[in-house]
Amino acid sequence: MKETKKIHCFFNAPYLGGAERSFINQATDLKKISLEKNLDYEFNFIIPFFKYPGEDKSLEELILSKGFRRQQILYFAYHSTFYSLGRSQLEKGPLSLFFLFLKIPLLIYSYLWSVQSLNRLNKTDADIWWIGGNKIGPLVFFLSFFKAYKGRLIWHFRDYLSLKDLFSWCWKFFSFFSSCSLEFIGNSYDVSRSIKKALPAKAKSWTLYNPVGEISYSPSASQKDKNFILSTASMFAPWKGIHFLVQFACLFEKSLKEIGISEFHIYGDEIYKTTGDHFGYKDQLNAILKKYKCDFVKFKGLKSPSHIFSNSDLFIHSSLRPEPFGRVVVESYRSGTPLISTALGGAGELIEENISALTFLPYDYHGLLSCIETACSQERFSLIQKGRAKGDSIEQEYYTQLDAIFIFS
Amino acid sequence: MLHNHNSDSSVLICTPDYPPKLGGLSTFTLNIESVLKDLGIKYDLFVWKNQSEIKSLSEKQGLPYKEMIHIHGLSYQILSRTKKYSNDRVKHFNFFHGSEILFKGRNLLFTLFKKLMRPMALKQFEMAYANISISEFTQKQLVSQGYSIRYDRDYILHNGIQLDRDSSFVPKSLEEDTWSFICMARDVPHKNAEGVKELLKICSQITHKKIILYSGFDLEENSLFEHRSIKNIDNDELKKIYQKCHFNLLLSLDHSSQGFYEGFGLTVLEAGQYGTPSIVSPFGGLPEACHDKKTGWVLKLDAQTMRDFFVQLNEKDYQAICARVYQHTKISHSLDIYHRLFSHLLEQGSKESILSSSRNLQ
Repeated sequence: MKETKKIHCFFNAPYLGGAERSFINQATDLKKISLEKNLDYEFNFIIPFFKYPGEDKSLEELILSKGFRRQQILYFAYHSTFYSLGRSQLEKGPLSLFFLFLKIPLLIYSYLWSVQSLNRLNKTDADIWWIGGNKIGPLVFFLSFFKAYKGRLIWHFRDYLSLKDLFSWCWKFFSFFSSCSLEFIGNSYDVSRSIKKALPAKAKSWTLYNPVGEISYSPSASQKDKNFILSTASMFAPWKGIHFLVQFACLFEKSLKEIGISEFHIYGDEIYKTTGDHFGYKDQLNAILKKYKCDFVKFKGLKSPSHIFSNSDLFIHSSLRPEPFGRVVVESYRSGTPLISTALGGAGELIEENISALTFLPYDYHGLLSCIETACSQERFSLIQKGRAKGDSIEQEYYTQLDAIFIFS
Repeated sequence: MLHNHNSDSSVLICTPDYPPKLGGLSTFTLNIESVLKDLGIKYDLFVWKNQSEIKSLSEKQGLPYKEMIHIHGLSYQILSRTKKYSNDRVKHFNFFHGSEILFKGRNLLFTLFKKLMRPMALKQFEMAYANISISEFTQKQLVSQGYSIRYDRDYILHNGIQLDRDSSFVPKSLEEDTWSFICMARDVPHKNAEGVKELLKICSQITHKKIILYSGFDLEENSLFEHRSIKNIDNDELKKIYQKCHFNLLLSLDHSSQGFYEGFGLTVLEAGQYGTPSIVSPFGGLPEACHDKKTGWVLKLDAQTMRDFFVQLNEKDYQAICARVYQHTKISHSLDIYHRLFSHLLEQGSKESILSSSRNLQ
């Protein structure tokens, strides 16, 4: 008789972003592994909405495209007041905290309202509650001890923990009252380590890399007079270092052309239109180009990873602060595109310095130029080969991690 | 006082410090001058001592500068408020180094005044053409005080130095019987002479090497290390000491609340150009100048960390770091980045000027 397990996947947002895509792919891969091992794993996807169920069709479509049924998708109403309580508000300082304090009754009401909406689904009968992020986490957490849930509660972090003290206090409070098995997943060993520091010793920790999905291996041939296309891709946020790259391209345009770079493509857009650091960032990037009268840099918008890497000869990953994972690193490897990275945080553990990728220090303009020179030379063959090998080993590691968390425990 | 200015110059460098006065801002001013000269850009140099001197500049006839480079923000704050040198008429470039952006004064009253004026001062900086911070730490300090970043105006350019033309890698070895350390810092509290002494004491105890410290501190004689004062030392002598020392030390403390912190740490570069690695504290911009376990070491200032460091230090890692700091300093910390910046953004930068001319305006 097949071992049966029920897994509820609690989504963090009604929209299809990178985290949601990863979550769906991980559930799909887990389903595939379970079938191979003759196990019967059933999934339910519990998704919040603000206006109406299924307000982002692409999220539902992706789940269905992976072979899951519509009956496995469940929606619940999430009160936008509590949802919009962001990390940036809490970090802003005394004045912001004061105004937040005035909103406490409304926040409590919206929180409990959302928990009740989740509770009305009447879906607590599962072996595993897999929490997809920090917006849904507090609701599910409350529900778990309200319902005296006794299964495995796995909180999946796809970013470093800020507000460590607040989170640590909350976790300790709930873990004292909770009767279920508390576990967490970090999407890199670096993230897992940072979270572990905030948690009580009894909380079990895992690491599960983000899956990258299908991307075809298509290294560009190196020809003597080839004009290389340099690329980068990310959401437009200052910590991703796009402004540094734009300034670099403007200041070093002549040197880059001498090396053989014909254009610099920047893929991505302002995905999160918030009033935080991102606000107006794209306009500022355009203003840099205008200031330098530079047409070397081209903004290419949002494109699929396949499109990006099949049109790039060299890829730069320029995050200025530790990256929780760095999916573009693995995408680079798998596509056969030489990679240059700042290799901070989780992204650093995916890179063997000067072997699978070249690295430079944040704000090191000349260091970056030196890497580009190297990557355009004969060295690029070695980078492509070793990058591919590293990409394969990361994929292998991912399946081992999936097994360890969900199959063997 | 104004002397012999060049009527062709459309660029003015404003600075509070210039040789023979020593210090980071003097050196920085010389570096900027060197860059403009290399680019063939005609400029004038204005060395000011106080606010009234700055104000008097705007009252003088003529001097139609189109671009101004402010080594210290005070000259920008005064001059950009005048009709003659307003932000509409002049491209102002500001450099932010460190403590000067903390809005601290000589005394409590002065500090209070600066704090009250801070919002206005920050708004004014936001109207400049370009604001260049020498470290991310310094930029973050500005932001923490209410400054709004715009990435088309605000840059982080790590310090560069005029690399010694004769600088070459000078090999050292930890296998020598004597280890030499240099700490080119003024004897002021935030430069942390006590921390240096503690580090050398632990080094002596762990390694049993003979220790020599070259520094500008006033230190009493002790049995653990030999101190050799380098106060008032000339540049050639200083260069030889940097070359022969095994380590450069910069263990500055974060005294931001009293108005002092290390914005970047130029001595890290001055030593690095000879392959001498640095040991620095994790405060201010120091971790941006010295990259932990890549071009030097960033150590927490507790005894256990220092002990662990000397216990684990080995010849192989040391040699690797010496080689890397030499390469990194040469490649990434020359004045080239300023060449590029000014050649693009200054009007004369794009023109092929053969002669540069400069006159002191004092």
